Amino acid sequence: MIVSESLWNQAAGWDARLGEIGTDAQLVMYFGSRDALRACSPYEVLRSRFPAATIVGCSGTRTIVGSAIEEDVVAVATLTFERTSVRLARALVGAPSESYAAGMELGAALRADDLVAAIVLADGLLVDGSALASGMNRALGARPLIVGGMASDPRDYTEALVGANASPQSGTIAVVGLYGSSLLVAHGRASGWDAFGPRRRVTRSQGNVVFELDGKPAYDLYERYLGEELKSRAASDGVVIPLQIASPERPDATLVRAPLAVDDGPASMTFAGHVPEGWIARLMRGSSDRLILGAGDAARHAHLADDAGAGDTFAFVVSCAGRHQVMGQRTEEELDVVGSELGAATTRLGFYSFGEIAPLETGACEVHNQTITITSFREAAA
Amino acid sequence: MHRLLARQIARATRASGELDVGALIELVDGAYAEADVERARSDRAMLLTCEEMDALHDELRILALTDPLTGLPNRSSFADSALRAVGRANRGENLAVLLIDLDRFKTINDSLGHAMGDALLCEVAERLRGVLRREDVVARIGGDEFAILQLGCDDPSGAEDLARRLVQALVLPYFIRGYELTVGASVGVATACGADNAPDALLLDADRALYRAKNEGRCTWRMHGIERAYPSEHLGSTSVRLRKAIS
Repeated sequence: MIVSESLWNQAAGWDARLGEIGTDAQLVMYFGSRDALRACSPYEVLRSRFPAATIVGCSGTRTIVGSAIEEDVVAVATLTFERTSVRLARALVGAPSESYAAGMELGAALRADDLVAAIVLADGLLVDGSALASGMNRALGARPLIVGGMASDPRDYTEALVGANASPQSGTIAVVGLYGSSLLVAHGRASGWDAFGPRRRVTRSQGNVVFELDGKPAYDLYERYLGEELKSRAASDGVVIPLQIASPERPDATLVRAPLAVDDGPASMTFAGHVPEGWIARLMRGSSDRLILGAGDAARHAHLADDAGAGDTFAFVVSCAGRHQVMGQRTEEELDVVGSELGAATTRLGFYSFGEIAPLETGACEVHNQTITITSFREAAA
Repeated sequence: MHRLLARQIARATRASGELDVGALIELVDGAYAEADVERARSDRAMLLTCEEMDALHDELRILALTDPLTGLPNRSSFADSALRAVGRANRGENLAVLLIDLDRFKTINDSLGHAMGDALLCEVAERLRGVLRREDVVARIGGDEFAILQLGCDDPSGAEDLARRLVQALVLPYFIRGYELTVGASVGVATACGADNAPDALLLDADRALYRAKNEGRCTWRMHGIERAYPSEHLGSTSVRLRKAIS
């Protein structure tokens, strides 16, 4: 497996490395800000360079390039496999309610005994990530590994772009299936957020909107904990206290749900993922230090042993936009620790998302919030 | 922190390679401000959650000591109160313990259902509160069993007077959900005297007296340690009467 990386930015255009990459790459992935994606027409450029490749990409609030966070670039990874085959399934949805069916359809299109991993990129505004994950789980079961992220925008919540062998556009879901026993995959997910305070039962919710916890308005709870910050942050930049949720039957399989919006009439909190009624919820708090440690944990799980396989290693990194909000200028430190764990030779690209798609302890995939997910790919030696 | 500073210097360096000191100071100030916000947010969350946990702790403590049906103190709470009251009795204050058992309460439950039985128990609790002084303690210590601590009673005759008034109050008809219900109550009384009382012994004495009241006709009271002729007239029916009330 050969992995190459190249960049585009407004000032310099495409870097020279793009021209040096072999044109027989089977998979090309690109990530960038919405403006950068519009400015450089990545699909057209990459298609002309890699005529046979599956080309997918999406917009993120920021782009991950190694240990750096970039705002106005497009980063490209090209993967040339020796014995792994690639297949693309894509769907276009017009509303979140179509997400479950789309997930079923995409999963069915890729289903095969030798499917090892599926990489999902989905519009983080128009697609209901939880429903998409449910549909894919239904079609594919707990195996293979399903990872990915929900495309994001610069937090103006107007348009998130995904490209699937076409120019990136909103409403798109791209799923890349990777097939063959030669592909080695390691995956890690961690949040670093700490639950605190009493356990509360979700007593009234609908999809990703929570009305009541323990029979009391969820809005009031958040207002108490965030005070004036609740409305000021919610209007512009999301809210910083996520919920840890778990089914009463599986209290150890926890999910993180980040608040996206608040509404004081009727009082409700909207989260970036479903919060089922009857589940148990706890407030969470994050500190930069704990989030950075969490990133290190995720990277350790995603580390492929140095003597496993041969050739290059690619690490696909998806981190939550909310983590950047908490860590501010220190955000790159989470990428530093990922780099330290995976080694400098691993090419690391990805984006800051509106939801990370990764498996639960059960193997079924789910949308997570406030996590960093890292998936490493390498091929076994011939 | 050195990595952060290195990045800040890189960001504050112009394309010409010259360091923009003003921009660097702004970045460093920004990092401190972010850390301050993070700390303040965390401190506030911890403070509020401590308050919330304290309130929940108080709520749980009350729940642990309260009978959820009647709102009266439960057996555990009564045991605490009895311990304190006996301590005061041992220092010379008079104390009486009264155990109350409803007569044939089971008939209500069996014939009209547990909901009706529960409603009756709530009414009984209300009547007990009405008979007692503010400083007395009444608790529900079992299904249809109640216990009272009469603090600072004058002498055994004061306790006996209370027992009589309780039996009279509880035997009056109850009007619940269209039914007229009548049950009796038997009461056993023990009084603390002297300096070496123990709560368990007092309760045992009251229980023996209650047993006598049950055996000797129900709907009456007996005083532990006092053998004499009790009133022979019925204070009320010793059988349960169930009758659909006529509106």
